[in-house]
Amino acid sequence: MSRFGTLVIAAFFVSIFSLTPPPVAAKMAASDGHTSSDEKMKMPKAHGHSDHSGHKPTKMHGDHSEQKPVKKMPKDLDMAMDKLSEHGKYKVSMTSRLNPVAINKMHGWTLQVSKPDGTPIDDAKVKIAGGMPMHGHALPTMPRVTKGLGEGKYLVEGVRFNMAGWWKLKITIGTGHHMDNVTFSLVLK
Amino acid sequence: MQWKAFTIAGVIAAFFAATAQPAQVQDWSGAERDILKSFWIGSLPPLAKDPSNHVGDNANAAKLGHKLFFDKRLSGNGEVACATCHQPDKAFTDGLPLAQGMGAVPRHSPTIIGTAYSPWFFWDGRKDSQWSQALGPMESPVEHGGTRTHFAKILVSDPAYHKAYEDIFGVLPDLLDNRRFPSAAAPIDDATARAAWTGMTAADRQTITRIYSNMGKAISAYERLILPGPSRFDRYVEAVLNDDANAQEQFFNKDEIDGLRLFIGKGNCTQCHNGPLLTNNDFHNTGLSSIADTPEDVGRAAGVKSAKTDEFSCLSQFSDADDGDCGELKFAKVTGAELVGSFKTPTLRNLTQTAPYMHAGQLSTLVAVIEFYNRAPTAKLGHSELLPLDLTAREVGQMEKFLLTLDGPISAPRDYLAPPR
Ligand code: HEC
Ligand code: HEC
Ligand SMILES: [Cu+2]
Repeated sequence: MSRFGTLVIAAFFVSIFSLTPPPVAAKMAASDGHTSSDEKMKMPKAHGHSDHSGHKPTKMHGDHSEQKPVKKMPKDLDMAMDKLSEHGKYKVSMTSRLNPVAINKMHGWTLQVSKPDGTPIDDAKVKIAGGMPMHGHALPTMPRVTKGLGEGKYLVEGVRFNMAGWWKLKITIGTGHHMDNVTFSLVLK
Repeated sequence: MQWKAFTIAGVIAAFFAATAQPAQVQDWSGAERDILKSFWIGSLPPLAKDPSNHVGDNANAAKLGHKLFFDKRLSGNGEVACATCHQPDKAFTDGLPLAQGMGAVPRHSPTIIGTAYSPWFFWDGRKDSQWSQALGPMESPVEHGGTRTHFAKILVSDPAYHKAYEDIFGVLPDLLDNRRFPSAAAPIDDATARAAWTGMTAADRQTITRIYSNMGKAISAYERLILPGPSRFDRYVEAVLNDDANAQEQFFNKDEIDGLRLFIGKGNCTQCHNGPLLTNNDFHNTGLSSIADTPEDVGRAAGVKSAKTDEFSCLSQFSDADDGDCGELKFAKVTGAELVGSFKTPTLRNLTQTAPYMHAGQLSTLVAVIEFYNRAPTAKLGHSELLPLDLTAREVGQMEKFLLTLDGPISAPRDYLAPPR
């Protein structure tokens, strides 16, 4: 055999040994019955986490989108769910009816609206928007208030977050001539 | 001489194997580990009940659904079954750019693996449940090209179907009277079939449609068992999460690791391809309308309207769900420029078997897909959400190598991956 042939064979072996990972598929494919993937996998150790550094935002469209996409989640992100609206017109709080909030699960929230002095407001017009500030996309659904619950409480239905990370919910509230809005942040794991 | 050459080759090979490749252990940050874990198949939750389908998790219904899925009698010409376009040995796709049934379908056949997790079905999401989805192709003139009376009559006259159906859904009525139950009647575009349908009494139409919807529910029970199994990528993620350096080296090489970094970083892929199925199940315009010969298709903009008025929607009389279970349909985005030319994000598992790619099979290789994302051309219809990526040729290659690691076996009862005996 020529020297060239030897080198070709050598190169072939090198490539198998060093580049191709071992054939693991066969081991994994041995599913005789229907076992769920959970059962087949070993649980890894729990691991600490730090802030979700995502990816570059893409372009945004329409009024669904958030403001300008941001690169990083603020270290001191305000996660309060009970706030004064931007211009101080309303006291607003949001409470999830699903605890903890899970990814990809349709769920509702209770919204509480009152005057800054605490007097509940029952006739507010409410609009809900939101999205992921770092990804530049909006909510995958169109949530809305479906019912007034009295004492300043409203049922918000149709919320679903479809990925982990930092989400914003922007609530716009109007009564008579007074429009104001408030933005809540939550981080899903 | 020859064995000598082999020995030399072996020695050289062993030498290179030992020295050529530096250790592959990568330092993934805590945040990156979280991201990797979120794509890991072990993070896939158990499939939630489908409230609109009371037999969704019924084993007998799945058995019946398996038979229906492969049965070519359920078509206008006796030659088309679901499995014609969703072939188990091609990861439940057909290898064609555009599907071919009784006629030419203007869209590409997607996989059904793991689609039970999606709230929306079809590229445009015009169906809101898997059982309702199944009823689309059966009466589509370019797919099965059948009618619901024809299908119902097959169920009644085939003794095995008859028994299986009654065991699950209760008594099947007698449909032998051809004047009451014409052999080809359905509320479809075909004028003859439609006339035959409107000629039936409302009660008889209801009887037939109930049987028809139950066929969809059985098929869905079968499809709900067709799930993805762990890929090499999943093994790698486990190794990372376990801090097992040897296993990391075993499962991923340098290019694949770099490709993975690009996927979650510079490539921006995870904005839409995320979670254990590598899809957000949402609708996006990626500018594929810019590719020549792409059929004009507004995608989600029309799909969501269809879904709202669908005869078999979650809110319909044939659904088993309460109003409260139909949130996806009730709170779906129905307007907005971003719906125009948007299509459902597909899974990225098993890509080696699902080519060609995209809703009209416009791109035939993964390299073509990545280069498309790299250029991010302007859409002809609506607006592309993509921005150019600036990937080098080398990076394109690494990204491809990573995508290939997402192939895995199908997790399903083995019998269900072949025609029933
Ligand atoms: C002629 C080929 C063909 C036949 C036959 C066919 N399909 Fe499909 N299937 C397709 C195409 C093409 C699409 C995408 C169509 C669209 O988006 O408009 C699709 C979409 C689907 C989807 C949606 C997947 C997703 O991610 O949304 C499922 C599930 C499915 N088919 C199951 C079935 C079942 C069940 C049957 C039999 C009752 C069937 N198909 C018959 C070609 C076919
Ligand atoms: C803005 C959302 C979005 C981003 C970002 C995105 N994709 Fe996609 N991807 C989609 C959608 C939507 C489709 C289907 C498009 C269609 O057919 O109209 C798709 C289709 C694909 C397909 C074809 C799968 C099949 O079976 O047909 C591949 C492969 C793919 N994407 C890989 C990638 C990679 C790699 C990246 C990063 C470079 C990426 N995607 C970034 C949304 C996105
Ligand atoms: Cu996001």
